[in-house]
Amino acid sequence: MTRNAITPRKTLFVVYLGGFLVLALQSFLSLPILKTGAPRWIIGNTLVLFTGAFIPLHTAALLFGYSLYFKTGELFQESGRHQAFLATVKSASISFIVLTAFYMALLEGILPAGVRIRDEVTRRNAEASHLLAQARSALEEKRYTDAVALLERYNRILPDDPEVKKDREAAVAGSAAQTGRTVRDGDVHPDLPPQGMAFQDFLARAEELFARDDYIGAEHNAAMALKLDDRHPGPKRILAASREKISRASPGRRERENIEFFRQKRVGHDLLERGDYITAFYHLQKLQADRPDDPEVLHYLEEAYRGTRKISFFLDEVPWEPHAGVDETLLFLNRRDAEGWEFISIRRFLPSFGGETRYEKPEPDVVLRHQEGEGNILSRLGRFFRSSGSPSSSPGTPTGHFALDIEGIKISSGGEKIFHFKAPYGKFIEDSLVMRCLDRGRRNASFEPAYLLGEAPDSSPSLIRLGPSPEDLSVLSAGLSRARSLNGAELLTVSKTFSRLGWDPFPVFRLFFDRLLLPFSFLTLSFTATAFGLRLRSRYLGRPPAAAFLFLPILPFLTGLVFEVYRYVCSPFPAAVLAVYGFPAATAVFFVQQGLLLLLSLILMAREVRG
Amino acid sequence: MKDTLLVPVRYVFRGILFFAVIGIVAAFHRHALSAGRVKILESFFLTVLADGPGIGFFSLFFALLVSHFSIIRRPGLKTLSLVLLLATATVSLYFGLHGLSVLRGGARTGAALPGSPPPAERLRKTAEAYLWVGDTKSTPLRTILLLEPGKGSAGFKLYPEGVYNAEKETLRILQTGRELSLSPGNGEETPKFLAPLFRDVAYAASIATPGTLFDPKSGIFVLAFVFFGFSLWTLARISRWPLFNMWIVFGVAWLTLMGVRFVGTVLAPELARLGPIAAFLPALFPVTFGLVLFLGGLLLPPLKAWKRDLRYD
Repeated sequence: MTRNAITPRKTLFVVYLGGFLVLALQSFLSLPILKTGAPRWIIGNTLVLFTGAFIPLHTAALLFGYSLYFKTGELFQESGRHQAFLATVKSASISFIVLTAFYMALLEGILPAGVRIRDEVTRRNAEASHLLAQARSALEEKRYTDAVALLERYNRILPDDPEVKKDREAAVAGSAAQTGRTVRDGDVHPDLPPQGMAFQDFLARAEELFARDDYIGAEHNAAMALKLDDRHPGPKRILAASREKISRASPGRRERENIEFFRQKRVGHDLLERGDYITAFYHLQKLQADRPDDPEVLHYLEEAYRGTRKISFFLDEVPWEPHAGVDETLLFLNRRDAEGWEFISIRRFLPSFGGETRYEKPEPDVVLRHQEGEGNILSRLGRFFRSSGSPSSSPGTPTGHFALDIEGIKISSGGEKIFHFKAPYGKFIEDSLVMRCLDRGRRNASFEPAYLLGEAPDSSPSLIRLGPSPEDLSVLSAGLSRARSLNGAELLTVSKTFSRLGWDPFPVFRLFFDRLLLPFSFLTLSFTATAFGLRLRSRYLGRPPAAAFLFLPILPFLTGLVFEVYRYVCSPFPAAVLAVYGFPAATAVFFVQQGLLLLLSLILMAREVRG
Repeated sequence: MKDTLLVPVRYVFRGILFFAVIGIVAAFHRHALSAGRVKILESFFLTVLADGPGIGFFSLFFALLVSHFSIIRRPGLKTLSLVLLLATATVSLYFGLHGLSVLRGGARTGAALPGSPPPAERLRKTAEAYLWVGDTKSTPLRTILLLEPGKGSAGFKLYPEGVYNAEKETLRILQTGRELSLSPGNGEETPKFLAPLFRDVAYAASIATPGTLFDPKSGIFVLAFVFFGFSLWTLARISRWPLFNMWIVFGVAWLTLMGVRFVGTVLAPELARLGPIAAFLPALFPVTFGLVLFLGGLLLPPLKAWKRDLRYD
């Protein structure tokens, strides 16, 4: 009995998979920002489309096959008696159960993975495009060091892109020409100083330089050693001797510049020691522009940058905002205390993949970890099918999260505003949303939150402590904007997050039941379609006319319509119980309902088989 | 003969059954959408009162189409069966729609159906804005926070009081007088394929529903629809493949309802200069289609020979 549906099933699956592939390809070509990841994006999109149409395709194949090919003789034994019901439907039932398992794998694994891959490829490409545009603009303005740094971030997202090879070569060559030395491709800043210099290092260097008659360098290193231990006589001696030599030598222009440069370096170091990272950063950045290959400046600059990143971030780190046709506002209850409720809204929540600018050459193990992150084919496959509890998990883990157009408000129990602020940019750092956004090139062009009412609730006006983590917000974002593409386990995670962040979880539970309905529908509708196929079987005396086969590709559209009616009819009963009695009762009602529908479909089939 | 006489009974039974099933499903949907605040029975009556004519029209018209396949399969006098079906369908559609319309009219003048406001201290997304209400036990509701997405600088708005309207499912902000719809507005209520069907059926029902017991205009529309439904009998036996026949019957029926709405809403206003006749233009669509199908049916082989040929007997 099963063979009647095999050919139409194969034909429909192959034809529609091909059609969806063409559609996905067409969508891909209409998105100019997508430069790489084409196979993943296209396959992901094809699978999403195919999974969505799986039930209509299968029911159409069954209807077509049984109504056109089935011979009533298959129902009878040689003696002319009816075959036993179970013997007749056994092979069909087994194939339906196997296909249901396959469909569940599609729904729970492939569909969410397909959506995730599609979204991730789009986001990564968008960010890469933005970085490339910035890098090319830096190249035009002859800011070669910036261009190299931006292209390095670009390469982290899209490694080995041949299109940027020329840009990279131009940036490296320009940087080398500016600094007067050769920069190897792949290195941002070679010849870095030893990391974390200690007292003994400064003292040894001071002694070495003094011996080489480099009194300016010796004075600087001795002063630095004194900062670490001001009671030690060694650096005091070298410092005094160096200063004496310098004062006697009546330095020329170059020496005076060196003295000033070393003085400014010490100012930078002092700023770092005081914890004034932002001022130190701009100060050292200026020094680095004067002497780009000074290892100490680079080391301090990296330290200042690290300190700055704890309390602020740079505008050029903010990922480019891809165009979105849908509202992606994130609104959540941040904190609830005796005083009142605190809400935060974020117009756009963006993960970043490019990482941050590096001023120092990365440690070898960091490079190794980065390379390992790409993974072999097995680990890639594992990531493709991975379905963790978090809908935010993706094959490319974001390196940071940013927020655009932030607004916060706190309402007292009496309904009064306690504070209200707005900020254009924010970055998630540890358990806070930091809203001080700096412009790397301009000290005074920073963006800070504006308080329309009240005062900042936490230690600094430029940050607010967050109840939820970026991962929670990714889950909330997924639940609000693309919940239909999540699998069952992810929807349960979303429902918990919704409750925690002040949202009504009822719509998510409804989606959960809607999702749970699909595999049951597949099984029930397979039996029902078989029954209707048998009931409406053709009465052609010979082979069906060729025109009949033109109906095959149209049939899934019609079964799709019937499937929508079926879903619409099935969905309100568990939802109604959910609203009044809660999730466990609704689950029980759902299973009873599906059991009854399956029984009804078997009765329909038995009626047709037994006559 | 028994089978012939049972045709109208079966038709009416099917009509009532479809009405009950659709009504119950719609009632559960309403109940679930209100998060259980509107009781099931209340919701059923509300559905019958609000959407009764649409559901009634669909149920009776669909029952007419299903009856064709039943007549083909069962024994009996076919011509008499079809005549009885035509008469029963006309009478039940006209008076059924009138009855449901009277019920709806009565409800309009009656008291507002009870409901309850949105849950307190819970964020929710409506068609227009994000909403949070601090206190829903008091009347009016207190501490209302609104956030309108995509408005950039609009941002949070805090209002002290608002009044919930259960009948319209809206919240009126007392301070500004703004009426905010509480419906989710994300299209989840109606699947995307079904929404146009619902619209077409609702339009057909609106023009066929008699306002008074004697309403010649609605009578003409009822006759046009029943005649069209009746003439689909031709398509019900157009080929030797019942599956194809079934889809073609339902497909043409929907296409015609779509055409009726198109003529009534797009063309008729354009042709208003034709005078009062313009109001009847939507009926031309099913009548013309019906006539073509009816005359085409005369060319088909006699039913008895056809059934024998197809081994139905």
